[in-house]
Amino acid sequence: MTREAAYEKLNEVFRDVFDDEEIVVNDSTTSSDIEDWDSLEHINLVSAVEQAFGIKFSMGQVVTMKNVGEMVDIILGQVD
Amino acid sequence: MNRKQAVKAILFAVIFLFLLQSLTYMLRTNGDIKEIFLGFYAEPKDTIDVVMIGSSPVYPFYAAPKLWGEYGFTMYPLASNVQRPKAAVYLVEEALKTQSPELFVFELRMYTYEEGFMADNMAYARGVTDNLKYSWNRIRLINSLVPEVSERYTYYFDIFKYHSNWKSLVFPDQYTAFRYERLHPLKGYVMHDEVLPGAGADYSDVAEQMAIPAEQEESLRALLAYLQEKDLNALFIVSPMVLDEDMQKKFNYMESIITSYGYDYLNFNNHYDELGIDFATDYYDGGSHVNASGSEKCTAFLGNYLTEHYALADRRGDKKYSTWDEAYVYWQECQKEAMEIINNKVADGKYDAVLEGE
Amino acid sequence: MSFTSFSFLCFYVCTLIVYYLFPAKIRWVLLLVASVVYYLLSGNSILILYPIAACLAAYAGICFMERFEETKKRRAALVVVVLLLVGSLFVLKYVNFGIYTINGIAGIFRGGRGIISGFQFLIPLGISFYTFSILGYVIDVYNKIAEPQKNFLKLALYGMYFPAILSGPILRYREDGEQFFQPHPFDYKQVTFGFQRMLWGFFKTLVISERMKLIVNTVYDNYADYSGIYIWIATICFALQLYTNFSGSMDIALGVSQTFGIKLPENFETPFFSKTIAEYWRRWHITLGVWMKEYVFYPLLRTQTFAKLGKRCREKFGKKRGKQLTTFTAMLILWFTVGVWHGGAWKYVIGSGLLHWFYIVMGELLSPAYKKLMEKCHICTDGKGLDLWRMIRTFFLVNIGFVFFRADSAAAACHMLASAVRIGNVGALLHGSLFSLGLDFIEFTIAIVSLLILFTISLLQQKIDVREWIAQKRIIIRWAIWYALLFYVILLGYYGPGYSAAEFIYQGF
Repeated sequence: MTREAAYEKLNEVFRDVFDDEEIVVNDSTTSSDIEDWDSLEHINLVSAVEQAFGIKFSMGQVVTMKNVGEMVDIILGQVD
Repeated sequence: MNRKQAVKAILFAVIFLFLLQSLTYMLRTNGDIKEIFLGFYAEPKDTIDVVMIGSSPVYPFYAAPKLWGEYGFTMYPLASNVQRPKAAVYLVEEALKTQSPELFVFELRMYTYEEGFMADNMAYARGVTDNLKYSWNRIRLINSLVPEVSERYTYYFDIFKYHSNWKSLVFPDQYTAFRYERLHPLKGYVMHDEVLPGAGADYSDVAEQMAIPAEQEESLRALLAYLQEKDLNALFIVSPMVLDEDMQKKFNYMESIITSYGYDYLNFNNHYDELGIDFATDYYDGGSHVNASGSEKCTAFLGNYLTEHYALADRRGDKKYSTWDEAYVYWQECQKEAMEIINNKVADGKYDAVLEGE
Repeated sequence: MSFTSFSFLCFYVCTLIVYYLFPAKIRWVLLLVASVVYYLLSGNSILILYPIAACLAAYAGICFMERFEETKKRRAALVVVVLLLVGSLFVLKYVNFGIYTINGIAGIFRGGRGIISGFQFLIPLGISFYTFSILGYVIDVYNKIAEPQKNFLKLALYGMYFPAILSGPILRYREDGEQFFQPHPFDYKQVTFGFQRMLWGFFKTLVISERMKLIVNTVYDNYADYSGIYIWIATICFALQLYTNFSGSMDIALGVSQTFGIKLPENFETPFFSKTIAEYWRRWHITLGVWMKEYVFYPLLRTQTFAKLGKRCREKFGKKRGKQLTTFTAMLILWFTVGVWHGGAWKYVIGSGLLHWFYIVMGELLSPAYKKLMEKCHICTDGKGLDLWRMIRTFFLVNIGFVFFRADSAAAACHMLASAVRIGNVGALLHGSLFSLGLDFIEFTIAIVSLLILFTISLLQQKIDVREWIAQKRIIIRWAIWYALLFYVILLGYYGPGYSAAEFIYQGF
């Protein structure tokens, strides 16, 4: 999967989770950039991403990922 | 840490300690005892001829201004309520720091009491410890009076106790005590004009002895040994009061110990006639402490005795002692007023209730 | 050893001096020795075996995990360690709560008689705190986001570090761990800032908290005699008492650490300025919230059970409601745990737990309706006025929780709340009886003035670093400020013979 393809899918997931069709994310997006992205939504987001891509984040990754770029790195690492 | 920082840190700490010391001195609870000690520290170096150490009889019985005005020597009391005998040695040390008296006088009343009773109430220890300036002597005194090590820190740093007196800082007078020196208008003497008769009795013919509590005997002997070692002159007195036979026997017991060390002993209770003491008019609390009337008699008796038995120079006329002249004038005024009040009370039969004793 | 005791001050000063006399590389050894000494001097010394055992269990578990790469074996080791640590915490602190509850239920059927008798245990100092710090470390190593500490003594220092063991903050090894073992050279600024922070902590605990305590105790210890506005006043005083006491102790803990060159995580960020309950828990006892989120809430939501539950709810109730339902259920468990952590009694479970769950759930459910209301009334959602309203509302809700927290029991709390709303006796208050609750007029005024100072500094802290700001000023001004604060505490603090020692509410935790 290419990075662009990953972001296409990821945008859909974000729009779905946060109920906002305008969202576009990139490498440097963090939780402070999206209004409802608090610790509660974080876990919902993570689950949604896992489901969408068919992957699993480790517990460690869930708590330590700093921005969407890191998230994509992990996704690409697990998906062919 | 570089030098500049070290200097700043030390300076900050030093200023802090100075402020803390001054503040504690100011905040210590006001009262007769604080005034007495403030007055002692304020006296110029080497101007006190006689230092009297003891408990509550010391400061109402013996009027230093009268001794000055009529006999020409200076006496100053280092007294506190229910002063534990153990403290005497340390008070001598404290006095010797700034004075070189010809004679030390020790009042023996507390030597008949059990140490336990006195040690139970921290007020009695603090009466001495918390009226001294900070010094190693004070630390040693605290260690001697407070056996429980974990409690000592509130004595070493008595701010722990007195900080709650902060409201007193509203009064400008408090600030003058910041160096723990303030001249006493009556040179440590506290005058009373109340009258409460007591039932006195003469036991001067009782010759038997009765042992005093062991700790007090130990303190007495330690004091006597100390005086010998330092080659100091001392007189031990018992002030006139309502006593019982047992007490007289205990005082007799002390007499033999004291004289065995070569020191003098004077029990005023054996000289009621010469004293002219009158239990009906001379006491303000029923026979334990005298008012102005009784005090005049006791002071005269003491003055005569001391000038007869000790080499005390007559310093009247020496300009250095002008504050003593002032004290004597002031004492005379107060004495006159007090005597009038006392005489009226006796004449009318209107007596006062007991005030704080001991 | 209470932080506000003379013996602790002596202990701390000695430790500090020896710390900087030690060569930098082995200063951590001194900290370990000091922590052991501190623990031994704080109550029954035999209890030190508990934290040592906890560290040993963690160390052994980690060694096992390191030796075996297979997930199953590593998992097994993790489970054993978790059971040991949580198990001992449970037995020591909560078994009586469980027994009490079981007896309560059985009593309904057996006419008041219970079926199990309770146990008496001596609770080791800081067990609720060090258990979590160590547990977090073991879980992090399992999840491979923290490096295992090969040196047992170093791990012991992390687990027993004396400024944090009494009442937190709860540490996270991967963030806070390594710095303990680094050489910290003497830094004049860090040491002076540390002292300043400690002084601020003493101000909060000795001057404010102790005064508030008097009013709180008068009402809460005789709650049947008080009603109406007195309950409200005493509760607000309790909020202030607890806040100044706990955050003040944190100031001392963090200040002490700062003088060692060690930075502990913050536990408070002026929580009473929070606009929502969710925000409150990000600003009150921060390390507890972080720990609970990472090691309870997230793992819970990621279990099979919850994944399945989530799916079923979304199918049945729609995406939005389904997600909410799953989250609320997980949160129920989370908040129950938070409540229980505070104490094995229903008043804690409700007051610091379930009640807040209720607030957050209600907040979520009502937020669309609330938004509509704001639009209809043409109220700007970003206005300062609205912010103030939300702060007051949050403070009010939190205080209801405090009634439970402080009352003798959940039942007593309900009684107090009922009487608080039923009886309107504001008038009586204004006739001077405010000064007969434990603080006379002068003491009350001092409390108010001190609270104003606290409030002002808290406001300033939102914008600037106050210590830095002071440090920029001329030496005369700086020293005047610090001497003023020092003597303010020395004169007006409640300490020494005549005052009972400042107890710390979270100390038995």
